[in-house]
Amino acid sequence: MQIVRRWGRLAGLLPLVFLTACAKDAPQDFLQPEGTFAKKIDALWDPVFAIAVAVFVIVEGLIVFAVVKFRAKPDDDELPEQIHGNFRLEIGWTILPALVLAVISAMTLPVIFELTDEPDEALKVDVWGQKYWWGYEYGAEGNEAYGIEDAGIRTANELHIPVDVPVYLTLQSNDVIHSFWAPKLNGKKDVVPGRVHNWKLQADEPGVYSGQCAEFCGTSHAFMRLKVVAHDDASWAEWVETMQAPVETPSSGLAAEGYELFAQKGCAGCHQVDGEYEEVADTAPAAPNLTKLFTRDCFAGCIYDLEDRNELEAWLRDPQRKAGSLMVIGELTEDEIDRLYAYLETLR
Amino acid sequence: MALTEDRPETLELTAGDEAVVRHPLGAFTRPSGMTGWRSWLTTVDHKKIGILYGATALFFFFIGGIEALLIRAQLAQPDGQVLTPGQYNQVFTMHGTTMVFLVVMPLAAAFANYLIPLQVGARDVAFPRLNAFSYWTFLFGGIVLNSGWFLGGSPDNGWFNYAPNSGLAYSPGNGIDFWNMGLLIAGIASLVGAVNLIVTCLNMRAPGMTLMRMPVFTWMALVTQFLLLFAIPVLTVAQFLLMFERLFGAGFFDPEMGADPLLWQHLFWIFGHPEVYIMILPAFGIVSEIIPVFSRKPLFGYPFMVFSGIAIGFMGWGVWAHHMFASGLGPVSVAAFSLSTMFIAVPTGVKIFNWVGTLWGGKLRLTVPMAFAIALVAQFTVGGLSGVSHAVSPSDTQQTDTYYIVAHFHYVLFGGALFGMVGGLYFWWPKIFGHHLRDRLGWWHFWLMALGFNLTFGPMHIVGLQGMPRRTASYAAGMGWDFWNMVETVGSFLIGVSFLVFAYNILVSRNNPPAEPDPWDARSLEWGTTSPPPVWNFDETPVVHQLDEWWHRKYTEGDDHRLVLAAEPPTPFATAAGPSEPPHLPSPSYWPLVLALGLPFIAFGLLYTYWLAAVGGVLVFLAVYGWSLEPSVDPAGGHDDHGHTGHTGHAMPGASDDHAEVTDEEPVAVATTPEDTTEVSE
Repeated sequence: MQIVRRWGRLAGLLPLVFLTACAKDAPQDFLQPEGTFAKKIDALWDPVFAIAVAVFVIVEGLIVFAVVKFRAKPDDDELPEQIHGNFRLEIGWTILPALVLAVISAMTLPVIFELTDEPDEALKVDVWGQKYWWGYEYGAEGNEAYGIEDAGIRTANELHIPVDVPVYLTLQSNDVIHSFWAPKLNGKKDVVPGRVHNWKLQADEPGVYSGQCAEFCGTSHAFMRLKVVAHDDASWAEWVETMQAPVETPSSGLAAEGYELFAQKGCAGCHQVDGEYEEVADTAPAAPNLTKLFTRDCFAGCIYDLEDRNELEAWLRDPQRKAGSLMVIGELTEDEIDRLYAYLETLR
Repeated sequence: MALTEDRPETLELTAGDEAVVRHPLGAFTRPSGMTGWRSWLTTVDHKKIGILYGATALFFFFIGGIEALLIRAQLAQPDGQVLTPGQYNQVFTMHGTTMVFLVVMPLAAAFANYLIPLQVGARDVAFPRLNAFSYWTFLFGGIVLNSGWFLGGSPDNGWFNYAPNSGLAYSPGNGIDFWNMGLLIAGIASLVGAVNLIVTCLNMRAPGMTLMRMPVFTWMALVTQFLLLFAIPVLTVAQFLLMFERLFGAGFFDPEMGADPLLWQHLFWIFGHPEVYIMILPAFGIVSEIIPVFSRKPLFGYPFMVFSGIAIGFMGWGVWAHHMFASGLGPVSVAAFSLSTMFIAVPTGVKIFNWVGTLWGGKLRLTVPMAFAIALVAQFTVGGLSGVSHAVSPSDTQQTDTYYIVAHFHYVLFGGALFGMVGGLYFWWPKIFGHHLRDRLGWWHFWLMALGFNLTFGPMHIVGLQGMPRRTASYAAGMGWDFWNMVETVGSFLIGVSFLVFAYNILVSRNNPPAEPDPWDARSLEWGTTSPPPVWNFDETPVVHQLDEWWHRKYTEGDDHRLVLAAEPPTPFATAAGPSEPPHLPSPSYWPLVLALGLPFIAFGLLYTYWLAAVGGVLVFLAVYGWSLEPSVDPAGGHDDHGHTGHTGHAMPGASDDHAEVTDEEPVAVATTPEDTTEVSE
């Protein structure tokens, strides 16, 4: 009887347990999609889940029933009827599941192709994956309708997009395989070195959507996170304008000293600042583009809060606080850190 | 004295140490001991080798389990600090690799080794020395794989070891090499074992045992061996490419040299998906033996069970790319693999329904092995259903690389394969060791394990659907994952406790009273011999008339077509007295061990200094040479036992007296080697 109670309880609980999966405070819960493509996927999941629950209840119910009903009574030594099988029944439970699966297949196949089609009209963004952060590049070509001008926009970790517009991503890797994933907006797509993959995103509502690298990529794979910020029309225009406004070089004070130090310490050898430090080739960036650093909320694979001064200072003191970070800066005095911070703070 | 004792009679072998000097290669004495620790190094008895496989698998299970608990300790709370990310990556890599290659596969090999010859009515496997060689290569492969813990860093790129992160540029340490070399060596074990067991199944069945009278476990194990035979070479090829990549910069997977890293993924998963069935089919076979026995009726639809197993074996080759739905395949390939993956659920579903059909209308005796078997059916169903949800490839682009997948394959491989195999241990324990495991402790083990398992892996469905990626060393607070991760950790420690109970059970059960030869009223041939079976398994090769031969010797059809206990109990297949004719048995040998020992030397040599590899090469060469010159049955075996005591162990009792006359009638002196002559002259 213990077996019975146990499995009975499980069978009853399982659907309920799955409902709790739709918690409000789960920012990567893909059963609560927020964009067209993720919703298409979710629309497929719902019937499949319903079928699975039905099969689950039937099968577990049969097992529980059989175990209760057909338990041997004590001292009953007589053998039960020796049934060797039932051909028609067995053919039946071969064909019936096949039919159910054929229905699921028929629902699935069109969606595969829909999700792969290149949209006619879309914001196009180049996405670069590397250990352990994301780089984004918005080229002007084809993106005029979205206000992107000649120089384009380069940023990192936070991907900004307008709502209600498909975004067509071109995914490339600078080192190993990564996987771009913003669960509420679409499934994931691997970012493979030597290959160019495309993927789509679309957000139906303005908001900040959480995501992260989903293919194991090395030591700090867990710390290669990202955000997608979806803007309504007005705030999109504002963001584009901010990002394309020229950077002002600080002319005096701590920030100006930091500006000098940025070059002296070799930061500019990897980190690009558009209009200032452009020695780094603008494709295949070796380190995050810092042009408008302080318009962002997070840094270093979106694991540290940029608004917390201590986080960035701690990072400058020791970039290895994120294991496997490729940033090499050497030892800085507290004074140097203050100056660098003062300069970085002007990048907004 | 005793020319009469120089007969090709191989059973009466002494404990080796006092043996008369015989030099097959002039290297060392051919071992002849059948008892004592040394006999375990030289044994070619499939039963001893099966026990070695099982014990070693349980040892590695302990290590893999500790690794699992470390993972759960780290993930109990957000921002876990138990391990550094680098350590975590080593631990999860080794957990997966260990559980797949060093636990589930060798446990299956343990059952296959022990049971196949018994179930088909044979004295041993087709190639006993190769069988020993399989075990030793597996052991040394496992040691090489684990050597990173002592040699500066274990593999840390996942059990799937994707390129190009596996290349020297991104993994400069030796960790990946230990993974690669260890599994290359262990792969030899699987391949050799597969050939051996296939030949055994096909050629050594007792008279009358047609293929469709073969017990289902043997059938599923046979399908598994064919899968191994074709799958392991694919992995081996991939690993050779990786070895050349890392040792010599070959660039097979390096995009900088124009290669496509997806090549590795295709090769790995062409091996990797059949591998899933390699792990689950033996467990399917085990529960297909257990459920009929405790339902007291035959397996429902034996032909369907056999053919669905074969169908899984074939279809398992056509679904590998479902591991790669997010990798960048074109939509047509994705659609094709979606379809094939959907329909592999059909034969698996057939099995579930047929097990339920076996329970149906039976008179169920709920014993510990039966509980584990029913748990497999119930839990595997969950894994199968989540599997169908991955086959919906657009959904899979959300699910892949999340904890939802981790939940899925643990329901299949832990809730399925491991539950089945643990059930198998409880089921065959009395047969293998001659005493039962304790029932009460067995129930404690079962309930703790079932509860712990469902608490650990059930909630992983939820956190997975909430977007928690796998292979991550930690997670941030505020993602909605905290509660269930804590539950999972609690569950995992319950599993740990359940296996402590199991270990305790094994220890205290040693002094249990001897088990009956057929304690469960079971069906297949192994239950007709003694518990434990004699070295020669069967006094006389049984003649098989139908499926479940042993069962049908116990029961006959009554008036109303119901089976009733036969008036006479059947003659046992083996007795304490032993057979009337001396059985023909293979002799122990050192060479399998020596040959296997050469391989880790070669592996470490390639990594550190070629001189070490040369030593390994010499060992391998000598072992092959010695092996090929050594007759499989020692012509001199057993003639040095006269006057010694303490060699009874598994040796045939009373044989020497009985056969004195036999040899008198056969004046065949086998004193052909110089050593023998020496001895005779004594």
